[in-house]
Amino acid sequence: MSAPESNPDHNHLPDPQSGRAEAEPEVSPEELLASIPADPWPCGGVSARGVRSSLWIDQAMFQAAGLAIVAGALGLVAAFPQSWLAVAAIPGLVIAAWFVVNTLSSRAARRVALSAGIEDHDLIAAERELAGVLATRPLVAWVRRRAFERLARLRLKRGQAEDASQIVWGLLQRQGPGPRRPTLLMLLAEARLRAGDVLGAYRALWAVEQEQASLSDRLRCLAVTVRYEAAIGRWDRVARDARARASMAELLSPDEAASVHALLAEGARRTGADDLARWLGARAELLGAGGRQAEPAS
Amino acid sequence: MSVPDALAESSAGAEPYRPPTTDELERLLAKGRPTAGAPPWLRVVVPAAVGLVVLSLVLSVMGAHDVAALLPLLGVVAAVLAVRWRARRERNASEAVHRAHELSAMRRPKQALAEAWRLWPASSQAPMRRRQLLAVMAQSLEELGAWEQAVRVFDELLDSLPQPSPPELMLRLRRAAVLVSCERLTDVDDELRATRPRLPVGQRHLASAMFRLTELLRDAATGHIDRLESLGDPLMDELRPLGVDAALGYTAAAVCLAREAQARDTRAQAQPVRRVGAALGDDAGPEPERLRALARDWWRRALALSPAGPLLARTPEAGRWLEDGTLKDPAG
Repeated sequence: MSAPESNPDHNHLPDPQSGRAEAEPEVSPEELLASIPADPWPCGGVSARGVRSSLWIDQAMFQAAGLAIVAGALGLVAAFPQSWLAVAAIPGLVIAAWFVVNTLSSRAARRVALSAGIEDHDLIAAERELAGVLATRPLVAWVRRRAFERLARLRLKRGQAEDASQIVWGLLQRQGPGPRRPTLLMLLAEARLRAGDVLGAYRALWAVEQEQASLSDRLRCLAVTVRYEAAIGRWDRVARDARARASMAELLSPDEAASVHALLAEGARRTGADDLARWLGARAELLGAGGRQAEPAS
Repeated sequence: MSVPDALAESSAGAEPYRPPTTDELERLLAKGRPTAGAPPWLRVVVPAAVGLVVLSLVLSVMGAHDVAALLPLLGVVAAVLAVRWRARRERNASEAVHRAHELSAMRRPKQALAEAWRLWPASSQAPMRRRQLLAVMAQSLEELGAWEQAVRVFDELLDSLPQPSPPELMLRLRRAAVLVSCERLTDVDDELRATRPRLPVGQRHLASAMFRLTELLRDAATGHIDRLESLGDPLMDELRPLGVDAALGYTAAAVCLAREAQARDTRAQAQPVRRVGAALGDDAGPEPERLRALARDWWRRALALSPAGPLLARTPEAGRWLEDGTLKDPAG
């Protein structure tokens, strides 16, 4: 990876403190994230430690159930060495345990999907559904992680950026199936930016850049990156590749596309690209209400 | 099923790209229809499990207790491995469908269609994947201008959805918008009449915006406008939920206004003394000119959101008004 001065296409995030583009990274994303102290954003109700504990309890329950089944099966075989009961009990126990866990988990997964469906019009009802899911034990890991991810999005929607940060941070610290790492990092970046913590947002965005992200993650990344660059006053960075960014941004929801276009227009205006600024401004206004207020965050 | 040569992106240089014909599409759709009865994996698993139990019983009766005890364990291990293998296969298939969906979202219809075409035959037992692939195919065919084929895929997709439901309403409206391009205007009217009572109350809803877009496309195609006032500035708010796709509605509005201006010119020539009332607020200058100025405004807005090519493909009449200069900005 070359330094930005030697490569004009270099597209690293600008550092929030110096405002300069980040040069050769000396630490891995893991190290960067690890430099954020554990439970850095204390808030009521949800904590990263709580999320980790919840995931750990499921795992411990599965391990305990596995051990109990093995011990029970061995006990049966030892007690009734020539009985058909002992032979049938082993797969019977495994199948019964599998059935219970899967039934609970699939019901919970449906409730998570339901909460995603209703959160647009009733945030409280959506959170109530998620609370029901999170109270269920044991759940397979991906269902619980998905429920936590939805809860983080919900809290972010309700303006509780610290809560959302805590939840995502807890999920990131304990790897597992379910929501992908770039998705979680994007959510963290968005939450930190909403909380006014540009350094935290920068770290999360930097980590996202090292990951293989899906289209929706890349779109989220674009929206958060533009807002971040505007927040630290790097309008030259905002205006860079503005046309390409605009064509990506049009895939966002209309209001969000409008607010990204408005920031791009502001960046173009501040860097003297007036024609581009006019075109972007017109698109911003046509795309959504967010485009009418080109609010520089700095 | 292999992708037809003309559909493959690599063939683009050798021969011009052509979307699949209706016959090719029918053959493909037939291959992905869900089959009646138990899924294939169940047809293997059930006899294997029964066989294992019977064998275990027989061995137990014959006195081979050790082997009989081992068999169910082996069965459980095999079942766990099979479930894991199946889960991995499902995950890979879902990721492939997701990639096709991304291509479609990024408006790369040729690649998206080729990918959906390739994945389709293996999706017959996965209803969710089927729907996603149908949605990719419908959007890609629509963008490629294969209207009849797109309508056929919309029909297949609508059959697979619970009715009535919000996604079904949106799809019916999108299908109706494509029907305009197929010149099936009676069907469009029927659809609009059937869906109007189901539109959500309140502004800025995607379904309402889609409905309005379909109305505009129909009006542009038929030349009949119910209310000229509806083509004023509030139209922008009505179509906003569509994002950049609102450009198509703006183009249709421009066509309606340009045509109306010409009709008024013709009427004025026939009846020179007749004064035309102000339909769009205060009377600022001769009205046909005002309508033309409004038409130019909508066309300019449409171009801010989208390149001209796709807009002219959906509303060919706009090309005519561009050629005669009605939609050209006098300032250049």
